[in-house]
Amino acid sequence: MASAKTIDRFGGLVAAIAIGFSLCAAAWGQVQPPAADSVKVHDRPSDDGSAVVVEWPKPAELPENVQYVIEIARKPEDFADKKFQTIKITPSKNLLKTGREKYFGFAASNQDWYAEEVTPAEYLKPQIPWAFTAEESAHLRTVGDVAAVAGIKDALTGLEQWKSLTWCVKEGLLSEKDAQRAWLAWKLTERYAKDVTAATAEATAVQKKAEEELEQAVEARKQAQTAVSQASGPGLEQAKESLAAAVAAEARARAALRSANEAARMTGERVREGLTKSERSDVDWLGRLDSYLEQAKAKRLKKAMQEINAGTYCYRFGVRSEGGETTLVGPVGAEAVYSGRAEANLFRRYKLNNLVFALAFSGIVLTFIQIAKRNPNLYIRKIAGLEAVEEAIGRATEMGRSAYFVHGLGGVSDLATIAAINVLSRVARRAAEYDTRVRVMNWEPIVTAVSQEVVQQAYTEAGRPDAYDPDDIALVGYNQFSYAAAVAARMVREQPAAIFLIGYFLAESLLLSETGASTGAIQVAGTDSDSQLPFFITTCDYTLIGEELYAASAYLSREPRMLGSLRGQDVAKAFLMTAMVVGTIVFTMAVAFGWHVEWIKGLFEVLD
Amino acid sequence: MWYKRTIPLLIVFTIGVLAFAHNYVPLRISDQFRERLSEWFRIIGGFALFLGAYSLLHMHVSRIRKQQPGWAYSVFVFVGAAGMIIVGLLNEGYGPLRSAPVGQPTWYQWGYDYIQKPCQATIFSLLAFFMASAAFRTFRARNTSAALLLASALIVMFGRVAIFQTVSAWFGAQSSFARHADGLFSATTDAIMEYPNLAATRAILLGISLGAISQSLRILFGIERSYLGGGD
Repeated sequence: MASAKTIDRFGGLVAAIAIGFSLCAAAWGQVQPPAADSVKVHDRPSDDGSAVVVEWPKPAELPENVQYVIEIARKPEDFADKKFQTIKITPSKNLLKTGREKYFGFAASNQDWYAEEVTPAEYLKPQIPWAFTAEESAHLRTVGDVAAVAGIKDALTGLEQWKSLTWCVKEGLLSEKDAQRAWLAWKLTERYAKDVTAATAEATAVQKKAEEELEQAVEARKQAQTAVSQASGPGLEQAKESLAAAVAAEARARAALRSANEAARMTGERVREGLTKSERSDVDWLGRLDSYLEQAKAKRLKKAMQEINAGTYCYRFGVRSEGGETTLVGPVGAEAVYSGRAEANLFRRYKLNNLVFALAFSGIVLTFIQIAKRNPNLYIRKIAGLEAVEEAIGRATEMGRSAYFVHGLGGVSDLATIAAINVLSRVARRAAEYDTRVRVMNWEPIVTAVSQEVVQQAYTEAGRPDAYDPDDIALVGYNQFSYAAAVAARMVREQPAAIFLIGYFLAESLLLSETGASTGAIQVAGTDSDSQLPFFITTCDYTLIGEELYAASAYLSREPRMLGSLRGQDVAKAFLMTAMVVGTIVFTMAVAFGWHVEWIKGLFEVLD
Repeated sequence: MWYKRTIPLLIVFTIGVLAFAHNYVPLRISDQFRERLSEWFRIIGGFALFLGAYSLLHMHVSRIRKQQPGWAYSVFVFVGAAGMIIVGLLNEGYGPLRSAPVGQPTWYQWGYDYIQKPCQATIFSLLAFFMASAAFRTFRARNTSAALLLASALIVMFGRVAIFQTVSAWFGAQSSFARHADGLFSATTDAIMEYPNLAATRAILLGISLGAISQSLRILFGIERSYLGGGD
């Protein structure tokens, strides 16, 4: 028996070990923690110093039923003292570096790694100075309990407010006098809020009573109506009188409900009227102060988080099984601890291609500007719309009518508007020489001011400063359709001989150009808004399409350096066209012959 | 002359280069610079609004004084402006420095909701008529290009509205021919929009981008100075 028992016990032990092993195997799946030296913690490139990157080798298959674990602590000893934060990561395709070209580029080797971006301040949260510490909170809970028993519901909130104000004084955000005023105003606001609550409850009760009375009145009226329909003979008159009284009672009940509703809606305002003028001023001031302090606190908090992110911290890496057990990388008892620091970078590496192309195109344009200085007779292709500017102003002169210049809806910071202002300068100068009035229709005040300056200068340079009238360059509307209505109406009334619609346009483009076409004016339009181009092409005599708008000023000036920039622009365009054709051929051949040319695509990828 | 030309050009160059660099430098100071610039712009915009209002009212005063054609319409500008300013200042008895309680109807809001918005909607709705008249003028097949334009426009219109199924539904019929015809038009429409149309749009956008770079360089290096008020 004894030996049988021993065998049973031995068998049980073996079974337990076997079950333990099989459970472990099931929990771990096929995933083993990576080797300690394969895990890396480093600064996230191309950012403002807000995160580090933890990266580790990707296993052969997407792991299931496990999580990766990153532990972060301020110093190595904190791991032993359990003062660390844990980040749990479920493996997914999003962990792949290839999904984050912005930081890691387009290298094919990115497929071999998992990477997680860690912002330290999200885990090692900053101490909020105006919040209570753990000890204070514990104490206040007791105070709060006592306060609650004593019916002082706002004791805790009041203390929080007071501490916040004290902190603001210490930090120089608020003077002591203002803090005192804020404290008194806050207490007043609390009282005010209570009064509003009480008054609202009272008004709600009145509303409810009025609703009930109305229901009764409606019911009485219905009964009276039924009585009238059923009555006959002498009783009919009496029933009619009862109905008239019921209808009047219903009307009174409805009026009472309306006034109760109105009273309920105005409760806050009525209570506010009960405050003195100085108290109302204090309550309003507190509202503004709160908003200011919230902003100031948010700013401090952001700064505190930035300071935390700039620190060097310790990291451990491991794998967590489904059962909740974590196995860290490195030998048991001496797990690997990595350190990493986020640093602000001077350059967004992922925009390198963008910078190179911008500099290359700038180089081409500047080179042709230099060439144009030496050789002023550069050939520039003719742009019909710009050739027509002269014709349009000439026509206006012959007909003795004005020319209209419509800026559209762009602000002064829009390139299209700047281009339009440059064209306006040329048009105004030519118009001044021909003694033709130019009326400029503006939508935006700053554009109006700039246009006035530009036209005045153009008239002065043409030797006709006296012909300048500031009323010709006016703001005619400050809203899209008010603007469209004002401009269209003036076109119909004044019948201009030439209309220039140049700048950035939206839905008003067709309203303006179609009205202009109906007046018989010669119309020259120009915009970089590709959605409006079809409307202009349909309704205008000449249209400057996209780049021609930007070229307009240079073209009209005939100044060699400006023309050189246009030639540079055309050469850059030829380069891009060549690149597109060659790229299409190369990628088509790559598909046919199995070439790996993804890196070429990466060169032109735009990341933001 | 240096304060009218050289200093503005120096400011333009410096700010332009810094704004360009902001795109490539992730430092916090770079973002702060950008934020500060946009704050300045908003402040200047606020003051410019007074200039704009002055410009508008001055122009209409002149029109009324000189009794130019349609001067009576200018009176409406003053009636509208005065009306809105008065009800805005009175503010239902709360005055200009206090807000009326939330939810309380105000005359100012009434003016906006029941005068300005319907007027705007009216002007916007005119677009439908203008679009029809512009389309009528454009789609006349005067030459080969116009004929091609007309054909592609008809295909896109038919592809967008499922014309055959709609017409057959009027007669209570569920025709498989109509379904197939609409499917064909829809597929052709997609092909037109996704290939030739998109290619043309991208070509225009490419030109716009290069034009923008070229113009920016001319402004940055002081070659283009028209925006400073005439002259080359």
